[in-house]
Amino acid sequence: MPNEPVAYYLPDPSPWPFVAAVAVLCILLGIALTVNGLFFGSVFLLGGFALFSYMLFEWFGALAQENLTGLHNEQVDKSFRYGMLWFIASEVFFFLSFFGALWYIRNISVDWLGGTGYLAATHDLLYNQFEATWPTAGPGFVGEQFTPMQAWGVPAFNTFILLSSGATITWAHWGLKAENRKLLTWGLIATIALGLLFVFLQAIEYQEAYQHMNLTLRSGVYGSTFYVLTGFHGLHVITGAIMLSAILGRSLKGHFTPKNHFAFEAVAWYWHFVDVVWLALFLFIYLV
Amino acid sequence: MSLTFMLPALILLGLILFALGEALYFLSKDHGDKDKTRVVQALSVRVTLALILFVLLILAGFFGFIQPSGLTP
Repeated sequence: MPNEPVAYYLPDPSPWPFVAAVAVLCILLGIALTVNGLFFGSVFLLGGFALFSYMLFEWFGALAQENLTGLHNEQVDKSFRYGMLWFIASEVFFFLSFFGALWYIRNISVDWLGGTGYLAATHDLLYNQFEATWPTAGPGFVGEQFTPMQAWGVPAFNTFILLSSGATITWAHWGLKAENRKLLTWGLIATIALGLLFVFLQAIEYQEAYQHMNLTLRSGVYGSTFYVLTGFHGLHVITGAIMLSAILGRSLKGHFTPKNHFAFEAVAWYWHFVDVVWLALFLFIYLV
Repeated sequence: MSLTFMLPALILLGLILFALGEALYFLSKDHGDKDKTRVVQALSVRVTLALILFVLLILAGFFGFIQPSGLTP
């Protein structure tokens, strides 16, 4: 007689998915109103972010409590792991699509405009002054004159910062495995601090680009791809730092043991992923 | 960037992605009472390879193998 099937744990009805939807609605409404210069925009925006933060805190807390009270059986544990796999798959394809766009523009469409390849006639008929190089401001400087972002300086230093954060989260990971609470806590604190420093330096880089280099979102295809790729990456660093803060809080409360720490490991892996995406960005956007 | 530096950089990036993928695979497999360190080991390899790649890129810049590109119409 086989063992009885493991019952799947169904949580009680929860208000947090609904609260999350309301918070996102407020944020989007706030953005739309702010862009159009209406007063209540900032109220909706700040309110939306406050509600979203509160929702995350409560929802994360509810999940942690379920785990501590032993409601997460083996099947639930497995579902978390598969959920993580699907989430990461979506993240990989999200960034792949932008890297793919960059590759397509640099290796195919700019060449067409320059007079080589399948649609070389575009060059002869429309843009016969255009020379296929990268970075480009487009035919006739349609994206206005700008200075391309250089790799050395803030971007290289930021790469070092993010790589260092990869090392500190690994120390924290080893600390957790060895039951070294001090290493776990300080490793997490250092990782969050380095992540926030990265975002701060990125903001300074954007400010410099807008004010002194005339490199904006309107700077043709170079500006668009630069800001879309680095901007979405920055958003992921902020998300990762929020997740790490939740993990730090749980670590301080002693929620994780060397045998039970999936939440820590999933967030640590996510941080490594964000780190590797930046490395690819540094290579393909700033250097090559 | 010259091929001398581009090829090792791409190989290293490939190895980094492999180590990261390996860690994700172990993350989905090692659970319950299995006290394994395969995830953190793979991630340690990932960090080490990334640091090597970064040093390689800094050296490429220092020795002039990476030239800043100008802007043309």
